[in-house]
Amino acid sequence: MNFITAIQTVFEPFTLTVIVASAIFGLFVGSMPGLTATMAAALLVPLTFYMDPVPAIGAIVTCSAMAIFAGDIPGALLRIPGTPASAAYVSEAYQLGRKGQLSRVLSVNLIASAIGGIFGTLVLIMLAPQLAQVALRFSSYEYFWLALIGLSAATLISSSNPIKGLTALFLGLFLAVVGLDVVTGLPRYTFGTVDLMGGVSLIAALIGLFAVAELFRKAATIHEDLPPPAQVTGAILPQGLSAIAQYRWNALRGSTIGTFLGILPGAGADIAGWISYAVSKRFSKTPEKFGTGHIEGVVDASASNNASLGGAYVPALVFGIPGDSITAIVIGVLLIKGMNPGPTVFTQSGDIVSAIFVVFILANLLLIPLGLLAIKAARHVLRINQRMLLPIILMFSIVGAYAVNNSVFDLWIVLGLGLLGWIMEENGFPIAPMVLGLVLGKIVEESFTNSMIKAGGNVIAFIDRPIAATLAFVFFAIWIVPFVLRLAGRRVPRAS
Amino acid sequence: MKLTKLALLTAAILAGVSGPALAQYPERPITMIVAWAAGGGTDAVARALAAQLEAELGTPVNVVNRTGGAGVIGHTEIVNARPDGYTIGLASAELSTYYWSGTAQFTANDVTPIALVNLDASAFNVAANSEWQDLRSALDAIAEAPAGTYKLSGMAPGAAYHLAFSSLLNAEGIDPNTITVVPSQGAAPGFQELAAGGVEIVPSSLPEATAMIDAGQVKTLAVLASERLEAFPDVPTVEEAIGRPFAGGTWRGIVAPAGIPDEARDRLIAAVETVWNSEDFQSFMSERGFGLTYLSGDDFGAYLAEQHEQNGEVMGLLGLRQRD
Amino acid sequence: MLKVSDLGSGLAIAGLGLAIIVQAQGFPSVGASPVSPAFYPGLIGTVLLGCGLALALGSLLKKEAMPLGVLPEWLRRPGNILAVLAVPAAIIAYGLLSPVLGFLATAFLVTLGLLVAFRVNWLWSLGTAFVLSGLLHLVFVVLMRVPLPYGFIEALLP
Repeated sequence: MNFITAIQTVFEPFTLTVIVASAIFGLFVGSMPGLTATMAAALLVPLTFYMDPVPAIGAIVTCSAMAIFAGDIPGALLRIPGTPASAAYVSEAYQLGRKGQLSRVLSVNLIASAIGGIFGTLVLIMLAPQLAQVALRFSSYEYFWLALIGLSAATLISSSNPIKGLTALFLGLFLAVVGLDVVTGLPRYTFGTVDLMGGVSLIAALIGLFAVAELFRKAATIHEDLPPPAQVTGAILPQGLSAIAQYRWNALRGSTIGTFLGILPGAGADIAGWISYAVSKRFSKTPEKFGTGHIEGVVDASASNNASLGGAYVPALVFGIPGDSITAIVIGVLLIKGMNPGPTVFTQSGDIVSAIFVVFILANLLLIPLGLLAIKAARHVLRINQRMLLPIILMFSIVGAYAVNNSVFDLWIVLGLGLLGWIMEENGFPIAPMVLGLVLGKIVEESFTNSMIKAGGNVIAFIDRPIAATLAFVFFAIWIVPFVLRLAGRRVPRAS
Repeated sequence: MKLTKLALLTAAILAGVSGPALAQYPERPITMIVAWAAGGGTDAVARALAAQLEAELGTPVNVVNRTGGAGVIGHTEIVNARPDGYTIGLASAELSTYYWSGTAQFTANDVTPIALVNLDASAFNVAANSEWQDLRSALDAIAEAPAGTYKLSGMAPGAAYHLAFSSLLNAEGIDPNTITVVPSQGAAPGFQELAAGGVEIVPSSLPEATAMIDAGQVKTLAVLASERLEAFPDVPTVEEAIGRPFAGGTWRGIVAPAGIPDEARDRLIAAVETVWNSEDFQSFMSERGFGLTYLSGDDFGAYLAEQHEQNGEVMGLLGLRQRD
Repeated sequence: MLKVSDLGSGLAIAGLGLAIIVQAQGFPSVGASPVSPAFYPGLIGTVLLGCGLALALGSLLKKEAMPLGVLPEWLRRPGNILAVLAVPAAIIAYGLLSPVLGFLATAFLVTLGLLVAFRVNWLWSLGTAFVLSGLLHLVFVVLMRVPLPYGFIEALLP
């Protein structure tokens, strides 16, 4: 691969213009709850018909990297995640903002996102063919254990009352059951409505549980007219840099986990943030600070969701198997441009692939200046009077929830889950495990049922393969080790 | 609050006055519903069509992905949309299965057919290291083995490729129920299962399998088409492999709700025909490996009626039929 | 919203779990799958039932002070009640009105109503409602190409 010609291809005025324009578009889309990176990428497709392959793919790559970072901005400002990928650490980021550390948390989001993105790209450049082989070893058995490990993360992220955390997780799992059963095509818990056959839309649920529940809370205390918390002033970037320097291993660990989850088709950015955040807490020296406005987990998770983007291109380029919905679109664009994904893509279209790698790096570097501008602009939002701001947020939430599916029915989901989220938080039930249950629910059931069908009901098959057995071991270790430690009688401080 | 009511009232009256006067169709943006997610094959065809229909009709054509429920949501939305010609949809082969599976009340005949734009033949894919060298040996092995020995993946049970595959087995006198379906969301996860050794067969279109064939993970035994595909001259047809003519797969076509104005229908049929024949669309479809077949208006309607009957039969064999 | 004691919420969750299990009994088994479609929801229902009972039992053992719940603070302030009610009212109004009036008219009216309910003065409310509905139209319809409900105001636009 010739990176000199690749760089020349990318640094043409037209390509650069396209990349910068799609970067700004991505930042905007990501920071709006209800607008997703997938929607943005799909919108770019007809435009890419008229472009060369490099600007065409570059537009989608840049747009998605920006959108995943930008999802953090409304999270920290308003406790409303802009994309599902930011949902895991939205409370933590918001708490930091309340403490006056808005600049710090947002610049950590920004720098960690860039680090994660570049890490994922480097892995993609150096190890794509080998890692794609590993991804192909994952069948439903492996996904089943992986999904259970993901669910275990819920017990780590919900701190206070474990029973209430478990309840929230299973409420989320239940919401994921609603709709047509994949195996039999049978409607479950749809009460005869066609709209519910498609299940509960994740975006509508996020807007309900986070945005609308938060608006209810704010409306109930509207008389207080609280001024926005005083913010630490000064340059933005250095605040984040010092935090990243302190937690540099966390950034690396988040990037590694994110890249790996990105490589596995079907996992992706939405799940990466949760797992990284939970891992961060599990191995932290100060796990008790998590959930009170502690930057450590944010470093892991911000790096992780951006790292997963690069990972998703591994199976896409090598086997034409999309790692997520965005790479599915990218594969389509590649085909139109006469490039067939497959192991030969690196030799036959080597120059273009190298150029795409250069775009990846460039997009993550561009993230810093453009993200900084976005942060500066976004901070002004908090200066708006609450009585004006809340109605404006509600209108964006309503239209955003409607826009995802063009469905009035989704508004009723938003309202119902908004009320539920409000009641739950007021009574000490955490929201985060519920969202995790909703994200993972389908994978849990499908991988379990498919495995049982394949094995003809024989459960031994679940641990009959080396990777599956390893994952099963990890899963049981997560649950048994703390138990054994407690049984050992000594109150072992969680030092690991 | 009084003012709000007044404004509401005025608005309501205004809305009534400026009712739909179909001056010259189309006078406002058109919505094209797709029942499958952004990034999939149907979505790609829809966006290519929409981009050019927009120029042809002189009004924005917006693609809306109404996903979920194995496509039933989006297709229901198309059938139930206001029949004014401003909501159309790119339907896929599953349209003619929901009635039989009992998930919807409408049949494939309850739409205004505009045009069939694509037919994709299904292919019989197996793992590259499979002992089956040709279709004959595969079918013989399936016929002899006890039920449940062989599994297939790449779709939900009852999806178009599953039905085509089952019809082939049935034509050969093999009970299609002997093959266990491991459900998956599309061909890609199916191929992953195939490579991981979880299933033996993945029926998919040939373009969907290309990357895995190039990677040496998958081989194709036959394509369920009447002639070899231009882009895949080495893959034999079913007839060449076992001497029985057999074609099957999936289709995509533009439909509108039943009862749209004739003016809108004629305008849409003409516009889709122009777009389909354009060089841009033809090259888009062949580069992405989609089969190019065209049926206009009533011909498409006749095709839908035929599909409706056929699917009722096959789904009955598979025990997926929930009504008579 | 209202604060409920763990006894109340526990019983509600247990009830939901039970309802999930009962409903799952009606799912027919189709085909040869070794897993019935009722198995997984049944499992979820059982866990919820268990969690709910554990919460209720814990509350009884601890002898929680609240019998079932207490009236929340915001119900004592008319201004707050209005603001809280305005949130669901706006969502419902948008859902019902937008298919009839079209997006621009609905967004204008709903925003106006919300701002007035949040005690913003009329002039500001009118101005914000006007600008915001236009902005939303620009963002979603023009930029993101989402076909929002079409109404009489949209018909007047070029």
